[in-house]
Amino acid sequence: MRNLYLITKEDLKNLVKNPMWVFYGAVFPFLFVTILGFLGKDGYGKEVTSFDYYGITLMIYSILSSGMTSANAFMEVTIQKPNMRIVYAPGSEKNIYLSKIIASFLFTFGCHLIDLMLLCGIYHMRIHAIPQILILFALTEIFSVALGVMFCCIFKTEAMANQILGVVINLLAIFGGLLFSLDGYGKVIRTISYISPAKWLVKATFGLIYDHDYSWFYPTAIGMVFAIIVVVAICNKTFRKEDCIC
Amino acid sequence: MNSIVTINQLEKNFGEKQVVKKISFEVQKGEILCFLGPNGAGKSTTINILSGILGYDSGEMNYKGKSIKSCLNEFKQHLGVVPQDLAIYEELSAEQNVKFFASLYGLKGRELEEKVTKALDFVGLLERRKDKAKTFSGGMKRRLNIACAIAHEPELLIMDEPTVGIDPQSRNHILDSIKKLSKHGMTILYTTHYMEEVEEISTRILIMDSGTIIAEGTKESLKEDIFDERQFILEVEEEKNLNIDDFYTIEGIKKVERKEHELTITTLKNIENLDKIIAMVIKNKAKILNLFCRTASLENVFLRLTGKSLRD
Repeated sequence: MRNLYLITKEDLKNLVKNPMWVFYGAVFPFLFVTILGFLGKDGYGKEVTSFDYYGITLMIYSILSSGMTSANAFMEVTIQKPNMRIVYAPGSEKNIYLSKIIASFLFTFGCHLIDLMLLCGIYHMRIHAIPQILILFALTEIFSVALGVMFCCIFKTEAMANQILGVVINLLAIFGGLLFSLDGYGKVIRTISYISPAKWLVKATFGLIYDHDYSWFYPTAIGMVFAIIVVVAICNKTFRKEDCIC
Repeated sequence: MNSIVTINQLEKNFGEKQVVKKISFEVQKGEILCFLGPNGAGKSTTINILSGILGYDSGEMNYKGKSIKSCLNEFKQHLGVVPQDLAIYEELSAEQNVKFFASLYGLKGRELEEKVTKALDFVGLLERRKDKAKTFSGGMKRRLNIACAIAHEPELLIMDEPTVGIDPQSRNHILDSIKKLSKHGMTILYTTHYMEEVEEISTRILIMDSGTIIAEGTKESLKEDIFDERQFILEVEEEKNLNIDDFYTIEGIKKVERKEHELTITTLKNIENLDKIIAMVIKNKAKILNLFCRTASLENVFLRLTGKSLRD
């Protein structure tokens, strides 16, 4: 347990010190919402502004993209080599991937919390049922970072993991209607879009904020917990310490 | 000497390919055991198995009589590994690197601080302890790689080609450090491609080729066992007076070659015939200017055993 704490702390420090990941985790989502919020300003009313809409959808998109950070934290070449020394040390080899999941979660969730606070402060983004929304976002964040690590465990390289992860994230985002609404594309597309957890998240979050409707919150949260368990179990099954030999 | 590690009938396959073929050896306490072998011989695989990073298909590995599988964490606690690749965080200082890796072995507080300082001092990086690893030269990084492996004062240190691609000064520093560690009682298992390093530091040598151990012993015993010949090189004047065929009348002479002023005589090692060779030269009215004896080098031993040069 102590080694897991020590490795996680070191992994977290590595992420915080990396300007590229600070930009990707904290600055990029804020800029993304700002730009699309301004561009789409005229298309939205006063009840729900473009910042209210994109503040939620693009934050969910950013949260889903957190897998990129964990994949990097796990298998980036300058990290992968010291991982080898961690395998030599006493303790469970599971510490290696668990520490990456925990550190990436703490880092990306911290970044996204700051973004949410900035969006609420600067653009007066409307938000309600904050504890429930934070629970949903935290669970999604854990799922995303675990997914990034899982792809690394399966494909053994960061480049391959990121390529596939990029496709998966964008498909989930498109089906979930994060980038544009699929509601106008007919009943079939609308039904298919529910395959994406992003759709559930959007539905649950907007339901909580605007309708005070909790009916989507519990199934979405339970679904996320289940998805996390599955992804971590796959990590456990596919992680091989010999892959740490560079 | 007591054996720390005993390997018995160890076998490792990668798919259809048998990389380590039922090898057995012991690592004795306090020795510097050098692993020699060409690329693909199975040295690194054996070392990776021993350091717990690779599994194996059959065989036994014991640490002080106990199966390593059953006491893996205890074994790892007493094991230090210097991998061939630099396993350090480039963005951290030398001190932070050593401190982090040493802390994984349960060290903390004052003890951790003292051992980190000792390890950095040992590899000559104490003055640069606050500098980031990325600012170091290749040799300094290699030394830091060693410091990270020895800070917890392991009983057995495995070093996988720790001097690859570094300047002679750092290399000498590393070799001196290894000798010092050995004097302090640390057992070292060392792989290298550099024969001169083996000549300098080894107390025992294992030669591996195609997944098997083909020879084992001290450098002296290997040379003795494998070569039954020695060469006398004579630098002579008036060499035209020499009749080469006359030398073959001396007992033990196997080959005589003349090249300008140099006469190379290969003779059986166990026959004392130098006085007769000198007498023959004098009898032929030639003058000896210089004479020396050439014995087999480890390179020759290796070449004889494997049929290839170590750097092939």
